[in-house]
Amino acid sequence: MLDDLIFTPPPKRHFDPWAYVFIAPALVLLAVFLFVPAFWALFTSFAPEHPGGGHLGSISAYAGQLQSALFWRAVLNTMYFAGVYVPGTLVVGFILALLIHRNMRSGARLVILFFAPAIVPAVASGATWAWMYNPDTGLISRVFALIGYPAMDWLREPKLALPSIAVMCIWQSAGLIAAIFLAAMATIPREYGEMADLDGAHGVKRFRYVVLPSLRNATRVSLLLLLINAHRIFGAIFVITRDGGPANWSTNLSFLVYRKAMMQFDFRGACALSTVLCFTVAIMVVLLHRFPVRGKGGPAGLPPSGRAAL
Amino acid sequence: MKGRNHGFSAALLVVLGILWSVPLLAVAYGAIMASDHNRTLSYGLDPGIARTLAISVLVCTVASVLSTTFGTMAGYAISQKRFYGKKLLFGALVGAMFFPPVVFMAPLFKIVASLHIYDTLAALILPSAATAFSVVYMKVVIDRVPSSTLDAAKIDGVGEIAILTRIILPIVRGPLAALLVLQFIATWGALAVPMAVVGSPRNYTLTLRLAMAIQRLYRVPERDLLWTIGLIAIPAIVLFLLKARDLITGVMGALFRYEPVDSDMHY
Repeated sequence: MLDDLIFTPPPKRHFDPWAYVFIAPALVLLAVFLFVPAFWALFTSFAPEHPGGGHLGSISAYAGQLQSALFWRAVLNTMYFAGVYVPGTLVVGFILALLIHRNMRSGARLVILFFAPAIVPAVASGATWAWMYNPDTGLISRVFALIGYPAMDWLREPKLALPSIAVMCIWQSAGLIAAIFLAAMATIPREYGEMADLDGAHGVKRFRYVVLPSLRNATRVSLLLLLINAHRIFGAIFVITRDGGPANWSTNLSFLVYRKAMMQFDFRGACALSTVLCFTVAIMVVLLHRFPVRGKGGPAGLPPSGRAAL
Repeated sequence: MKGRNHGFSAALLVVLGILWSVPLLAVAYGAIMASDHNRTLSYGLDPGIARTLAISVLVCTVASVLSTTFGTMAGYAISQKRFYGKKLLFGALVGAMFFPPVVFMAPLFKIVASLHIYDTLAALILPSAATAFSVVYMKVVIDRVPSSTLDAAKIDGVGEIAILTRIILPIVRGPLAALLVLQFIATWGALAVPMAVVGSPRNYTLTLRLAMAIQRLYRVPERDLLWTIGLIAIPAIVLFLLKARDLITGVMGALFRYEPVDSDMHY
């Protein structure tokens, strides 16, 4: 029902100078605090190393990053984090959505329960998890001790620090992903299920041919959202491992930008890194956006749904 | 979906639900257990928690009201009017939502310093007083208002401002309230922007105060830590519960139309 409300294009109108009155306050503020900073960052990243000692168009800031081992460490860490966080959240969120969908009456309320961690600011939930990860007194170590595993110093173990943060982020984002999948599942017309029943498609088959094809767009949206999120994790690292340690093993690109900008005051380096980071995110967005999912529909010949879900 | 496993899946869901609420329940329990004396929550930062809390409430209220107002005005213009540069503006705003907030730290610091408002309330409020998200969100919301309604109002000679305040606002009340809540929570939990624009502890927001305390102290006293986590989390959760349905629907609506959603609020 909402579908035609949302996608009815507004009628063509003539040029209306009143528009500038309405956009003026937002435009002025956004210009000063969003657009100018963005261009300043781009400009700075190409600035000469010493003021007056060369001309604009210097790529030495970028070259410097490419030669630093820390940059490559941060790139690997970002990929490592995304490798745990993105599939993890997708799977957990999908399972949650399936479970809630099966128990729709009581399940609808549970969406709110699972969604709530996404609303809690990263600093608060990061502090909570850091407290729970404490090797001596933390809840997680106590549970591990209870079932007979030795407690580990999760956040000081180089290979465990980043996955520990990823687990927290999965807890945070799974509800959001579940809500996306649920919205898509809600758009599957009941008749499809009944037709599948008549054709003798039950259980796994029904899932494969009725449910899955209609979740493609939801999967794409989720993937996009999670990949973008994976690149912006900063607050959680700031309060969980504090310095991106141990030995830089939890320093991702976002955290490296912060370190360069606010700790070393190397604005050129920070801006070059920022440009690389934004460019990476932009490429992912464009690739996923162009990903052909709206084509012919699912194997069962169903129209791909998911747009305008609720 | 009447499968045989209905009971099993319901049980699994309940178990997961309990598991999901453990972290926040543990904080609540720990905070209650740890509250013994009448000490204030200072943990090494000079000014009392009351000032920090007042700053947070003030900054978030003003910023969220302004960004919702300005977002509605701009969203209305982009949705309903034709003007030069509209596509460019909208494209830039959608693009800006993708970028991680940390990339704005250095430039914001520079801008705020050159405007001579570094370390002031204005520096905390102004960068959040108009957001790309609020404009894009309201544009999508106002797109849904049937154009016949607006045309009828135009023919009846309703003024430009009255169309927005008398016709559109009542229709989009729900999403508007959801946006206000989202913007409040986003500012409430923001870390990168406040860190770039204020320097002295007396101007910290609550979230920044907790983050800086954790950064600077080897170990924040457990009572202070847990109570501050609660102070940050509770308003966000209460606001969320007030408008949960609108919020989830609103975010989903924005998500499926223009995929990026402002996740600055928590990541």
